[in-house]
Amino acid sequence: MKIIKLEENEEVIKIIRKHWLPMVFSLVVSIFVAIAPIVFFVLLKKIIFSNITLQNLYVLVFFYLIYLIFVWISIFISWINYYLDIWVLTNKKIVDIEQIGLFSRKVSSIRLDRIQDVKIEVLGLINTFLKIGNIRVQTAAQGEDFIIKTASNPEQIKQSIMKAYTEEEEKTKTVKIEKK
Amino acid sequence: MNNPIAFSISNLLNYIQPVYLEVILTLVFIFVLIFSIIILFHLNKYRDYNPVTILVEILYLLGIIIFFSLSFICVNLYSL
Repeated sequence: MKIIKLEENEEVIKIIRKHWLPMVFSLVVSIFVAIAPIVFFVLLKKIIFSNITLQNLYVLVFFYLIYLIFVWISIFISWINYYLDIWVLTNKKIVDIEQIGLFSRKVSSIRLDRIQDVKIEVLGLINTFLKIGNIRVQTAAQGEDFIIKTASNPEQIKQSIMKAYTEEEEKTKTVKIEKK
Repeated sequence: MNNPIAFSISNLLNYIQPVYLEVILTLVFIFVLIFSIIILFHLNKYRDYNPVTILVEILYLLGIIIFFSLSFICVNLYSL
């Protein structure tokens, strides 16, 4: 299944994804959430669970496993949110696909000739070292800027967008001159 | 002397019948089945742009199978 419908002579130049760091952070949080009941059990074993029998333990393990299934699913929902949040840069337009949860998606696109400016924002030490930043593509329409947060290597992405924009503009100019 | 809270938790757990666990397991299984179909559908949507998807799918299914198998074993041991 194709990600977007391409026009005639349109080619995908780049698929832009968010940086992996927020995904790793979410994974670490999930691991802590998964371990939390074990820590709780170990800490409170003498106070609350002192009279526990082997049969009781099976029930507790059963509930813990059910809990783990939900944590496992939540990890993959985070993955889908990360994996399906993308920008597709073609030689004619930029398509922003935003996955919201499991059931909602927002798809918007802008033609390259409508771009006015591309700004990047790299904030903080970690973001500078790992090349993580926000990219804002300003459009001619007011209040309809394209923003991708925590993008990987924003400087390179900006260059790719500007290159595609320049090539598209050159093409348009050539066509206009040929018509004259 | 026994801790009253500990005693009550142990008592509470003794009240749980194996059939309750079987019902819970079945309900969770139905829920997970529906969610898995949605998750796998989403992961397959844009496969042509990333081969990582297959690994993620295998990992997801493997995890679910392991957790369900262990839960099933727990219910069976409890039923003995």
